[in-house]
Amino acid sequence: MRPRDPDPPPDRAHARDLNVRDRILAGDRDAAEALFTRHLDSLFEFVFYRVGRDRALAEDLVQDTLLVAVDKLTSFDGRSSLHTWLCGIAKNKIRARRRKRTAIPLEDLLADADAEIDAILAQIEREPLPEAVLEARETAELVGATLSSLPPDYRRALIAKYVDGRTVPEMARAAGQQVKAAESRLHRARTAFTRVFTLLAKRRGGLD
Amino acid sequence: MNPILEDNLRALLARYRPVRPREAFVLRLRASFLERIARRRAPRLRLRPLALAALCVALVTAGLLLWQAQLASRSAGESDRQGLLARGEILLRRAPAAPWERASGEPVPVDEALQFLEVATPAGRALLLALGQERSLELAGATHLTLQRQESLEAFELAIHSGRAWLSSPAEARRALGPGRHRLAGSSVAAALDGSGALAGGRAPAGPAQDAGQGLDAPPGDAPLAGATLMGRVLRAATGRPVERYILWLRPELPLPQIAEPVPHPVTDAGGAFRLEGIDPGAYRVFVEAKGLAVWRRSGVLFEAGAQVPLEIALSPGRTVTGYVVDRATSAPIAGALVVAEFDVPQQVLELCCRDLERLPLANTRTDSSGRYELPHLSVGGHHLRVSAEGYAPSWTAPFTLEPAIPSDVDPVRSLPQVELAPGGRVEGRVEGPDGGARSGAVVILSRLALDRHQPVFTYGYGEVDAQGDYAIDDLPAGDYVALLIEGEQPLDEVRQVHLEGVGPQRVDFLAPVSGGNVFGELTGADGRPVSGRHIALAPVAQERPGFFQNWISTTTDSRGRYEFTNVPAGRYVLYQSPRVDAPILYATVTVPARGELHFDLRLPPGVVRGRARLADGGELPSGSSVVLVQKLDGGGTSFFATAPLGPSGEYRFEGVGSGTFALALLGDTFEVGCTVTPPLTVEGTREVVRDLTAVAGGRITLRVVDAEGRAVSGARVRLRDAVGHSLPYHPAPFTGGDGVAPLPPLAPGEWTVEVVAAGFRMASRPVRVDVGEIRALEWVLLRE
Repeated sequence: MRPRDPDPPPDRAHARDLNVRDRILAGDRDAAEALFTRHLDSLFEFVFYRVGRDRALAEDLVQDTLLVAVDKLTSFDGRSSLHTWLCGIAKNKIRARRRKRTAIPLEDLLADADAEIDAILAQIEREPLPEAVLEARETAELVGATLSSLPPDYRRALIAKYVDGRTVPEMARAAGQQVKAAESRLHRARTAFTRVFTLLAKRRGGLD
Repeated sequence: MNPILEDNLRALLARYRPVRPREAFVLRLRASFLERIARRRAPRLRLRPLALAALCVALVTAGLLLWQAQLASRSAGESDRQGLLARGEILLRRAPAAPWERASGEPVPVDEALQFLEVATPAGRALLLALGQERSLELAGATHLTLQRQESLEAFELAIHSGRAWLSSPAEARRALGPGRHRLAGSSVAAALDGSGALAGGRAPAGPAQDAGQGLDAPPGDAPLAGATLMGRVLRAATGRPVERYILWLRPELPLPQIAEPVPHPVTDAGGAFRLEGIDPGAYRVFVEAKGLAVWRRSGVLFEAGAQVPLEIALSPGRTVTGYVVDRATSAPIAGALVVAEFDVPQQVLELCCRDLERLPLANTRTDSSGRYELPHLSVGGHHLRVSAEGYAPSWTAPFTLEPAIPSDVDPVRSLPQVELAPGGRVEGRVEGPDGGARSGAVVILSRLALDRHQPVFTYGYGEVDAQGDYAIDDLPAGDYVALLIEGEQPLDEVRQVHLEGVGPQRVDFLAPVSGGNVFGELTGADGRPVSGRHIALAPVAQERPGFFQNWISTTTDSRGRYEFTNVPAGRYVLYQSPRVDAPILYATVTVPARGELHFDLRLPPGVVRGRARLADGGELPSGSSVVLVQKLDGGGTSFFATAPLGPSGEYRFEGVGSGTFALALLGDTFEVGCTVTPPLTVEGTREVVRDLTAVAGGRITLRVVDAEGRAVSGARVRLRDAVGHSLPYHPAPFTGGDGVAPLPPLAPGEWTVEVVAAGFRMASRPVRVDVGEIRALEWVLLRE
């Protein structure tokens, strides 16, 4: 079961992130712990799928990312969320690592994928997905890669709805939101997932 | 809703398997992450009072004297003082920044410069009597003392209002002094109070006690000082309603070079009342901080032993200032920059960069993503802001004044000029022990000499010496610094002065002594008698720049006026002496041999320049006024010579002045005293030159310097010349701050020439008219070279 934190609206979330920054800068150890706990999993997943599912490399890069984040924390200005900011640092780290090592483009990472499966997956909005495709290992990886690319609140919304089977009013209650707002967030999350998933599937299958 | 998509999503997400890092990795990373966070804060140096005292010795001295020769004397003087205090001696000090002199045992001449008398106890507790100040202490019952200078300027008067004190001297037996006025002169001052016996020594006086006033017992033993009580209420000024929660900060106002940390006292009371007991007697600075209200601050709140001090405090919302902080090179906004209203923070010492945030509960904020800051609830009165950000040198805004808001006024936000930050410079070097090995673990403290404006907060940066013996301090704004070496919280006798320009690293080494020649000699007065207790310094000529030396060493003349330097590397040096604030410096250029000895005697010249400075109506000059003596050089320039604080009646005096042509400058910091320079005066031989000065009311010039793109030019030096070409010895010339504004002193009315020099730009020089009571605001554009 995924943790389900209440989802504050974006402006409140950014204010909360700035508050976390200020507390850490002021030496608040609890705030540092909270940042670590809240962002580690999603950051790891983000990196994991971008380095060819190389767990050791992902750990190295996540470590580098968090330590750089400590040093650069004053430059976090709240224009993005902390998650996005951390992912930005991680992307730079991944790029730098690629320059040092062999390039690891997404196509290469998933080169063993079946182009036919990908063609089907790219039709997610129009065709029911066959069971065989759903059961393929590559499909599960694509789902993970897609979720790792989404903002944490979108991911939480999708998992609450489609994995945990929550209704929208339940999701709204848990997040301290109006039902309308929860509905709207779920809609945006769904759209984002579809677009990213389709994009990744097409690219992996050489369709794009 | 698309049912196909809905089904597909459900089917896909059901296959989602979260990927998580391994537990061992998480534990390891968590530890290093939290350690990194802690280390980020750890470099903060917790300076103990002694080290801070050394820091401030350098800062204050430099601020007052501007010459490193005097810096040497301060450092040595403080070192002497600590040793003497430890032994329970009586100390005298002749001016706020003059060295401490030992008083007990040796008669000390009384002169007009004597301003402090300090009595120490074996326990290291000191009673300091400043001129005109009243202090209370517990002897046998409360004793209330006042130290006043008599009009003859040759003696002090010790007034005992109640209780008693003891007087002893080598010439006479110890005697008790009862209530009344007692004249102290000559050797009496040397032992005005029996510090070891009377205050806290715990032993009976050696000689028979003589009752000068009424029947008195022997001095008491180690009686602790009774604490004072501060009591009162904190109310809202607008409504008179009590403020229920607030923090009361008390910071002892110790005579410099001592400094103190502020102590917070949180108060929660429905009636807004507070009561603090057991406060050590002395003068304090009091701050009150309450949410949503401006900081209330008051200095000079006096607590006498056992006294109850009432204080009624009214808080108002204060005023709000706002502005922007940008990168000087790109004009990009700087987010997260720390903005501090230095006059509203209770701390006396802050680091250069922003690591002190947690120590700053009051009057600070950070810029947002657009580089904008808004600092609400500032107290009414004079302010300036300090702006710092990671990777940049801190900068200070020009001074500004906040007026009280009128009742209908809903705190109109005051916008301040944009502050531009630029990368700072670096000071780096090597630190060696006596054996030439790395002095790892030692700390180099770099204290900024805030010479261009009054700074309520002393600013410093520091670097720890690593295993290889290297250290580095970054993000330093251009300017002058004093570098101190501290090891194990003890300041070492290693002080350097550093001038930093631009971002290029400036090297300051503290190396092991190398073998070289010995330099020794004797310092005598104009009458040929040896002069003891003067500080002699030796500075390499190669590194000389006008009024500034680096890598100098110093020593003090002994009771026979002798000084000696050993193991001095061969080369040409300037040898000079500096007795105290108001005395000139005697120079000689010497060549130190590679081996062997150099004997060089110094003799003080006999000339005296003295007089009085007053307002045109005969009134006293406001505090902060001073007289500066400058020597007119043959080539037409001037050399800064010495500065003298003014006595209570406006008197000033320069002794030991050599023959030559001089000018006097009267400097002030209010409109009442427009700065002026006198026509030349000649000193010949022993002739005493008396020149009275009359201050005239003046006006001000505020000057902002920008480049062709309109960006502020910081670090530009501004010089001022009067109508006949005399340069104002406002030394060093003020620099422009991060906002491009130079803080200039008030000037006498008339035509002045303002000259601006900045690296990379053409010099600008223009005449400017100054009128009484008027502020002429100028903005000059500098053209690149």
